[in-house]
Order: sequence, then structure tokens, then C-alpha cells
Amino acid sequence: MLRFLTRRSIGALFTLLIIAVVTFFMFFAVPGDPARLSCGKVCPPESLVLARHNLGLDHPIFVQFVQWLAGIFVGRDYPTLGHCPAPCLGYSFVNKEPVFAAIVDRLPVTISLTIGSAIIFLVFGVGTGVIAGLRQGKPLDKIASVSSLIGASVQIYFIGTLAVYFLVFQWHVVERPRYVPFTENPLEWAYGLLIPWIVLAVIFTANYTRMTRSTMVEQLSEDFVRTARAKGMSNRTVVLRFALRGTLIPIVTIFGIDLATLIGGAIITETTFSLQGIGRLSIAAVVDSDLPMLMATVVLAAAAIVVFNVIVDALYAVIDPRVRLT
Amino acid sequence: MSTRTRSVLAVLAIGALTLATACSKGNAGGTTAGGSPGASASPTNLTALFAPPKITIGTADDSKGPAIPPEGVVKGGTVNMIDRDDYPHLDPGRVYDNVTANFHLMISRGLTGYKRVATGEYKVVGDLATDAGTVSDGGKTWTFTLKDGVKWQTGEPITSADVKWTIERLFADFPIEGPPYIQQWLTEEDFKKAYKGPYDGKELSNIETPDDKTVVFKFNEPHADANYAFAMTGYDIVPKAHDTKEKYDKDPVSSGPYIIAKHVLDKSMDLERNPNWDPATDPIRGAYPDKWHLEFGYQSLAVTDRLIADAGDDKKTFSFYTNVAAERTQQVLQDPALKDRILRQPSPYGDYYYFNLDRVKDIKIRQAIAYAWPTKQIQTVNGGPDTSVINTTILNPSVSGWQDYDIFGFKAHPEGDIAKAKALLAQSSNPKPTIVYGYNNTPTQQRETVAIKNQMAKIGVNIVAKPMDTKTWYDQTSKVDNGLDMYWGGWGADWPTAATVFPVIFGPVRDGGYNQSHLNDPAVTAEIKRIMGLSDANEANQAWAALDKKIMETITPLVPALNNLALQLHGSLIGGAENDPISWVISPNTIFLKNS
Amino acid sequence: MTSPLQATTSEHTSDAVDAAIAVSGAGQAPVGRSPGQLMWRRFRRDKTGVISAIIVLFFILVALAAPLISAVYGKDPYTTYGLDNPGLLNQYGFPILPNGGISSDFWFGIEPGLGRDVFTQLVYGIRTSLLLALAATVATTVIGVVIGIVIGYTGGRIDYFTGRAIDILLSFPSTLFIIAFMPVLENKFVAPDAETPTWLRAFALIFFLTFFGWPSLARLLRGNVLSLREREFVEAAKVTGASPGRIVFKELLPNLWTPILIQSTLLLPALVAAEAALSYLGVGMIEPVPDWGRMFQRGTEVYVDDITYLIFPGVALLIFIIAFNLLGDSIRDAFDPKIRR
Repeated sequence: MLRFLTRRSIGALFTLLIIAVVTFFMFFAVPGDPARLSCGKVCPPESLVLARHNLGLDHPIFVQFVQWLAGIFVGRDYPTLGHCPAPCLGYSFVNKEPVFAAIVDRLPVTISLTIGSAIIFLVFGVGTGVIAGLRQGKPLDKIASVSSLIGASVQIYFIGTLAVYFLVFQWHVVERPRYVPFTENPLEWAYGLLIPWIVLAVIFTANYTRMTRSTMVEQLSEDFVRTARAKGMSNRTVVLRFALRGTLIPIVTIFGIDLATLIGGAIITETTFSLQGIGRLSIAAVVDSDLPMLMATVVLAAAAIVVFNVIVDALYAVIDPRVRLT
Repeated sequence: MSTRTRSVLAVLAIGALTLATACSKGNAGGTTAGGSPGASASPTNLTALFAPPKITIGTADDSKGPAIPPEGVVKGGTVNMIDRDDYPHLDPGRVYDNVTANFHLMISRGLTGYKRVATGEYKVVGDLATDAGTVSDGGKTWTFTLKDGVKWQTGEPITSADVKWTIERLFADFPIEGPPYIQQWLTEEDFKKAYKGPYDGKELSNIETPDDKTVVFKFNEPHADANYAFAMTGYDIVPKAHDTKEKYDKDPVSSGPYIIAKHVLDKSMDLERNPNWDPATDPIRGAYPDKWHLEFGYQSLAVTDRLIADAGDDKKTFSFYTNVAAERTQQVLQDPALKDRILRQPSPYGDYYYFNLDRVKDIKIRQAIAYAWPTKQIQTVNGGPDTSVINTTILNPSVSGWQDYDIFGFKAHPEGDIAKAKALLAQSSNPKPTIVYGYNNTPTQQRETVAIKNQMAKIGVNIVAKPMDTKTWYDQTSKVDNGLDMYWGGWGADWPTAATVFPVIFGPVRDGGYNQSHLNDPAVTAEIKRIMGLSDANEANQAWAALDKKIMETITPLVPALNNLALQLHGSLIGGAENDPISWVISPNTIFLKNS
Repeated sequence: MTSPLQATTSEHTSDAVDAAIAVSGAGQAPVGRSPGQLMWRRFRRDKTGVISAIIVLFFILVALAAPLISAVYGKDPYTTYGLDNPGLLNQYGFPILPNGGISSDFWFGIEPGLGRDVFTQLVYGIRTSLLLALAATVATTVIGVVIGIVIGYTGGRIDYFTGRAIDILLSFPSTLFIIAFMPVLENKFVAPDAETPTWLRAFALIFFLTFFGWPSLARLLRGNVLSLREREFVEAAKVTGASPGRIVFKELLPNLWTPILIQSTLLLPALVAAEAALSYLGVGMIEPVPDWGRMFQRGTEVYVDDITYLIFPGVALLIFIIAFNLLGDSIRDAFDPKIRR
């Protein structure tokens, strides 16, 4: 296990490095000059040179990249802004504040969005999947598959906006989605994120229902389940011990992917509900040509995917002893 | 729209930097799409509503404190202010945008400033100086005398050495964000080349300090409105003894009525009275509340909803720049209960659809397009008359001396005078011209372009629409050889006289410059030069207004664009709230807390 | 399909069972049926599949006949009816009639602001969406299939390095990446002062969708090829000295048509949705090209005052994607009857 984790971690770091390199170099191919944006309205050439210097844009791109990378591990010094301690993701081109602080500030929004909806769609998805799997062809099964089909096909900006329109503007059931820190007021926190959670859950649940159901059906027809039944094990034991266990692997897989996607920047979700998380932060970085911010959000999103991949693979071994980690 | 809090460059590209329109960077700019449905709202005559401000030069008497109090003023209490963004710079030398400048009214002072005399009436007066400056040497030399009793928060007196230092430090390598005017007037256009700042002991010889109270600026050329330039926050003073260079941006020394007691970055700021500020020396700042609590991180919807609800402490709350969110425009405008808490103000900036005079050479074609211009359609696409007012002149109505005219019937025929346009085109060199129209590729601009293209098709003008990338849009249109016939462009005057408008937008034609119509007419250039040389500001303003009309009549280098309207709300216990017509935000100077 | 389908044991049995049912149903002596025929028979019995196929066909027909529909209906998606004719939009740019201005003239209402006809915009919007998604699907499938088969078949270093490249591509935050770097592509092809043509934006969208779409397909096919490679018939072909080209085209590819067809049927609606999402975020097709995603973008701006303008594209896209997903499922079932949904 340890060997596996080490090997995969090295691979993950390598992946992140490549993504960082590509993003960094691509940034300079994008038209637009961040130095000009940070210089005043009337920007004489000398001031532009200074702006470039102050942002650290006056070095060759390769050197800039090395500076950026080194900053993460050992911190770095800026010509006018002073020292930025490790882990230094740089100073934002726009407000000259440490990028790290901005990420730390916004991450709770995205994580709250993720955790809340994940709990709902996992419980609900697996639950309906199990029931549907046990009652194949029954009305409940059909309802589950129809609703999961609609859920899987619907667009978040469509039903999200509809949900806000009806729940907030027409029926005045809840307030418009907003973020209140959990530490400030847990109730307000949940209340403010209720619509996004439910909408995300509606969309994501479908996958779990389908996956759980089909694996359940498959598992229940497996020989070992039949044997267990034949030996007189109760239905409950069979379902819990064998059938459900078999569904864990595919569920862990998609759960890992979904969590990674959600944390890595639910751009559309956050846009739909006007929530200021990592997703909106990343869009703002693009719009403002804010390289350090863009790098941080891209790497964060990629890291979420890579890390969850490793976790998922490691979990396989835990769930199913037959799986060997190499 | 991100005009307010970003660098002023963004003003040039209103709407340029938004990707997902309304929900992205707040709605500070007030171009809020959406608006009101239904026929219930009655059209208001907004033109009559927004009389342009009167701005004149004040006397030494006007420059004496204290400030003229607003009606029913009460002193004391804690005022709350909520906005989206914290201030990017606390070092006044690095401030150029209106929102940060507005905040700096509370913590820093300059040689001159704008004194509110009455609603819509302002005077340029001496702030730290005893008057708005004395001109000599045909406008080249400006002399200011500092008032008695003006002090830093430390209790040390503010001296002429501080003023000299303030200007000199702007030549150093770190303050690049502020305005360049005074520096350029003292040296050359690329001023950072001419002088490297005072930190290595070198002084600038053409700022003289004959004594502790007097400071003399000797410019290379006459500048009749230098007192307007000195009123910019970028020239607010910094103490020579406590200048910590880059670090001053985090920890400034106050010369204004308040000091920063606590600052949590991007979250909140608390201001307390500066015991060393004497209201008797300050004609501009009322500073009625004892304390200010500023909070950041609120999107326009959150601000709007809190202010509509007006509950508890929110009664004592307002927002410097946050506009009513697009989603609430209709509700706010139609609710009679909110009527007393609404502030509306058209933008002080100049936005235009420029003709490229190098390519659209026939004035008849330009005028035909102007006659047919779909002003009303564009207004409708952008949310109707509740979000913008129609402009007919080159100068913004807020500019001193502005005079109204409507040659092309932008108000008389807001939907475009097709017949007149067709008649003009028939006489022109090409009755079926093709116009290459470059626009900033944002959703709003895309829609606007559809309206323009369809309208122009009606008079036989073929519009070739070129979407341009938001980030390079300005760079591309500001190229001399840009391959385009028409494009949108904006210019925000740095002070409300035409001296920062005409010499710029009809100034030198060069790549990256702001003469985007490429107007290069010897008569116009000569007239600009003549007016710039006038030492009487009122005479100059009159001449600018006449030139405005003449350029439009005889050259027609542009079609004026709509003027966006700000729409703001404030809590019910907030008194003295006014949207400042010069800075387009609510000034802290007149704010007070009503007795509950 | 001409070559023998080397099915797994279970597939084989169920095929046989199915064939038997088909035979008994027909009441005739057993006749040999190719797997393709079997699949077709199974598909025809699947009601959901047939209905969704009809809906999909309907969408395709509408897209093809858009100009015809527009001519019969008497309106086009470009004219700003609301701006040109007084009485359609109020001063704020919203339709005066309730429900987004639905009337006998404007069946689905009119667009707030510009006042264009929603019905023709939707009809022409299908064209845009289908064309972009179809092109991206074809490109993704071709690239995915070629790379998947090559790395699966050759193995070794090529497999290893391509596998890592796929890992990396799959870890990219693709939406953000596309938004950030869309201008790069346009910048490379268009001189700064020249117009960005419509086809270039379309190409850029197709390029990016393909760029981030092929890796998962390639990975899937690689897995399939890996298991096929060890089969007897491939071994046999190798032993008899068949060239790699022959093995790939004659032995492997025929066995891969099923996953390829299923995957590309499911890929198309996913790409339609992806294109709409990009448009919603502001990097889709540019005005005046009718585009569903852009209708969403506008719809989510004005929904408080004019929900109708959001509902029409929303429901249309929903039906379209459901129909396609169902069709994909039915095709899968028809090919692989073991998995009953």
C-alpha cells in the first residue's frame, strides 16, 4: 500500500507539473497585457516597463515559471511587494494580494457546496438504487429510472434558474442562495445553500441510482449470492453483505470523479447561483489576465481530480481484497 | 461591469471585462440589463431630472472651513458602509479610480478639492491651500499657500516640504497606478525617464518651497486648470517624515478627518476620528459621524436586499458604489416606500461610437449614419430608459460649461431618421457604403451590434460586424491602422473640464492613443491650443462648448453613446446621501446619521 | 458485420436464446441471422428506443428543414421584429403580451431586448448545436478510435506514454481551460485587424471539445483491444502471418463497432450540452448565429421578468438530450441484451 501511494503520488505530482507548465506557457499566448491593466489610464512607456517589472513579467517565461514553482516551496521576494512566505502562490495581478489568501477565503464556499450536495446525492442515489434494484420492474423501479434519466439530462443553469425563479421569486419559500460561513451560523449556512444542494443532488443522484441499481441486479444474479440464499441466509444479510458490497466499487469511482469535479470549480453552478467560490474566482482570473490566480485555480482543480483518483484506487483495495495495488 | 474598482483603464472599456455579464463582477457601472417588465411603470422625463452639475472656481473665502452642512445635519454615531471590494491602494499616490478616491476623502487631503455648495453645485477650492491657487507667468507658474493649523494624524504640521515630496515620490519606480499629469507637466511625457524620485536624495528643481507654507510649481507650458489636476486623489499628500515607500500602501498616515483604527483585508475597516483634523481648516469634508464601519465582500444583490429590507442596523447602512441589482431594478423603482431612499445619477464619462476618419472620408455618409442611428433601439436592448439617458453632445453634461444641442435628432428621433439619412446618402459619394464595425465581444455588445446592423440595413448601409476579443479590443481599436470604420470608445475625464477631453480625444493620432476618430483638422487643433492657453477658466469652458458643437456640425467624427444611469439605495437613517456627479459614487462628505 | 463475433460465453448463450425466440416467434425453421440483423430485431422490439429514435429523427429533420420551416412560418431568426414594430416590446425591452409575447404571430414569443422570433431561433439553433456536436463527435470518435486501437494493439512504450498523456488530459479542468484559451486559437488564425469568421469560432469550439473528448474514448477502446488481443482468433491471424494492418482492420475493428457506436451515440448529446454550457458562459457562437447556449445565457439574465424565454430552449434541450440518451441506451441493449435496464 505504501509503495502504491508513493508511486501514485509521484505520478500525480508529475501530472500537476505538466498541467501547470502548459497553463503557464499558454497564458502568454493569450492576447492582452496584464502589465497594461495594472498601469494607470494614461500609461507612459517607462511606467509600463515598471509595471511589468513589479509583476515579475520582465523575465523570460521559463524563469518566471521557475520562480512561480519555487515560490510554492520556499516562498519568494517581489520587487515592490516584499516577501511572500511559502507556500507562495504569488500575488494577484489585480489587487496585489496573496493568491493563497484568496483561495483560502473562497474554498469554504466551494467545499460547502460540494459536501452538502454530496451527502444528499450519495444517500439518496444509493438508497433509491438499492430499492429499485430489489424491486425490478415495479412502479418504484420505473419512477426511479425515469427520474434518474431526466436528472442525468437536465442542465444546471436551466433547472437551477427555474428553482430560484419559483422557490424564491414566485413562492417565496426560501431566500436567494447565498453563503454564510458554517462557523458563523450553521443554520443560515444550510439554509443559504439549500437550493444549490438540492439542484446539484437532482442532477448527480441519477448516476448513483442507475449505477447502484444495475450493479445490484447483476450481483443478485451472481452465483455466490444464489448460494448464500440457498444456504438460507436472510434476504437482508444477502443484500447488505454481498450485493451492496459489490456496488461499492463503481460508486466509489463515480463519487471520486464527482467530488473532484465539484471541488475543482463548479464554474457553472457558482455562476448560476451567484456564489463566490473557486469557480467564480477562476473565471475572474481569466477575465482579468491574472496569471497567479489562474495558475492557482487551474492547479487546484487538477489536484482535486488527481488526488481523488489516487484515493479511489486505494479504496478499491480496501473494499475488495482481491484488488492488488501495484 | 467592472468600472468602479478596477484601474481606471477599465473605464475606457466599460463592459469590456465582463464575461458572464450581470452576475460576474457586480454591477458597479450601472449598466444593468433587465429592468422592468410590464407597462405599469410610467416613463419619467429623466432628461429634466438630471440637470448637469455646475462646477466653478471658488475664492479664498470659499476655501475656509468648515464645510457647508446638508439640511438637518446631526453629528455623531456610527455609519455602516457595505460594498463588494476593499480598496486596492491606501497610498494616495497610487489611486486613480473613483471609488478608492472617494474613500480617500476620509483619510487624506490635497492642495485643492471639490466643495459642495448645494445639490449639483460645486466649487474647486483650496483644501490644504488657502485658495485654489494663484497663476502667473501666463499659466505656467502655480503658487499655493498652506493653511494654518493643518496637521498630520501625528500632530506634526503639514508643510510645503511634504507637498514637494508628495509630487517627487510619484517619479519613483513603485507608484505606477496614479495619474501622470503634474509629473508630465513638470518634466516630459515619459516622466519616469526624466527623474527617478527623491529617495536617492535628488530633488526636482521646478517645485520650489520658499518657506514652510508656500509651494511653487513651474510647468513647461501653461495649464489653466492645474487646480483641477491637484484635486485628484493621486496628488493627495504623503508625509516626508513617514514615507515608507511601498509599505505606505498598507499603513498610511492620515491627514483627513478619520484614521484607520482596524483593517481586516477584504473584509472590513473601522475608522475613528482623527483628533488632529480641524474642521475649521476644511471646507470640503463634513465628517459628521464619529465612526465608520466599512464591510466588503457584498455582491450587489445582497446589498440591494439588505437596503430594501432596512432592518435594524441596516437603517444606518449605505453603499459607496454598489448599484441596485438588475433583478431588483423594477421593484425598487416601483415601490413608493423606497422613493425617498433612491439616488439616481447619469455617468460623468464620455462614450462614443467613433468613425475612423481615415476610412469613412465622406461626411455625408457619417452624417447619414448619425441621423439613422438607432439610439432608442440600443437603449431598449440595454434595459430601457431606466438604465441610461440619451446623450447628444461630445462633452458629458457634467463637464463645466457644457451646452446642449441635438443636431442629429438623437432625442427628437431616437429611433433614427431614416428618410433624412437616405436623402443624405443619395447625395454622397457612395449611396450603398459598407461600414466595418468593430465591437467588444461581450453578450451585451453582441446584442447591441445586431440592433445597429439591422437599422443600418434599412438605409442601405452594409455593416460588417467584427467581434473582437475583450482583452485586446482596446489595443486593436486604438491602433491607427486598425482596418475598422466604426467602433465604440470611451473616455473618462479626470476632472470636469473639457481640457482633459478634447486635447485627448482629438489630440495626437498615434498607436495606443485616445484620438480614436483620427481627427486631424488644423482648425480644430489650433482652436484647442488657443483655448488651452486661456488663463480664464470660465472663458475657456465657454469656448470648449462652442467647439463641441462646431466639431459635431462640421466634422461629425462620432455618434455619442448612451449615458449609463446609476441607481442606488441607502438605509432610512442615513442623511445627506448624494451621488456625486463628478465621481459618480456617494460622497462621504455629507453623510450623517439621522436621529431615529 | 461480416467477421465472426467472438462473444463471451454468456453473450453467446443469450444471443442464442434470443435467436431462438426470434425463430419461434416467426414460426419458421431456424435461419442464420447475422448479429447485425439480430440487433436490429431487438431494437425494433424496444418501444422506448423506437420512440426516442423518432424524436431524434424529428430534431434532425427540423434542423435540415430550418429554412423551409422559416419560409412557411413567415419569419426568420435575424429580424428584430420587436425593435422595428412598435407595440411588441415595452420601453424596458420586454414583450408586452404575457408569457414572453406568445401570439399567433410569434408562436414561442419574442426575445426580450432585440425582439427576435423565438421559434425560428430555436429551429435554427438546432442546426448550430447539431452541426457543432456532430462534427465534434465524429472527430472525437475517429481520434479516440485510432489512438485507442493503436496503443491497445502495439502496447509497450507508445501505450505507456499515451496513457500518461491521457491521464494528464483527463485531469485538466477543461471548462476553465477552454474559456481561458479560446482566444489563443483565434489569435493564431486571424490577423489582429481582420474579422473573426463564424467558421473559425465553430472550428475552435469543435477543436476544444474534441481535444478534451477523445482521451476517455481512447482509454475505453484500449481496454477492449487489450482483451481482444489475447483472443484465439487474433493469435491465429498472427500465426498465419497477417499484417498488423489486416489484424487491426479485419480482426479487431469489426469487434469494436459495438462500443464505438454506443459511445458515439452517448457522446453526441453530451457534446450538445457541453457546447450549450460554453455558450452559457460566454464563449460560444457569436451573434447573430442562432445558438441555444446563448439563449440560455440571455434567459438566465432576464428570467425574473420573462421566464418564458428560458423555458423554451430549456425544455427543447432537455427533450433532445433525453431522447438521445435513451436511444444510446436502447442501442446498447440491442447489442448487448445481457444488461437489461
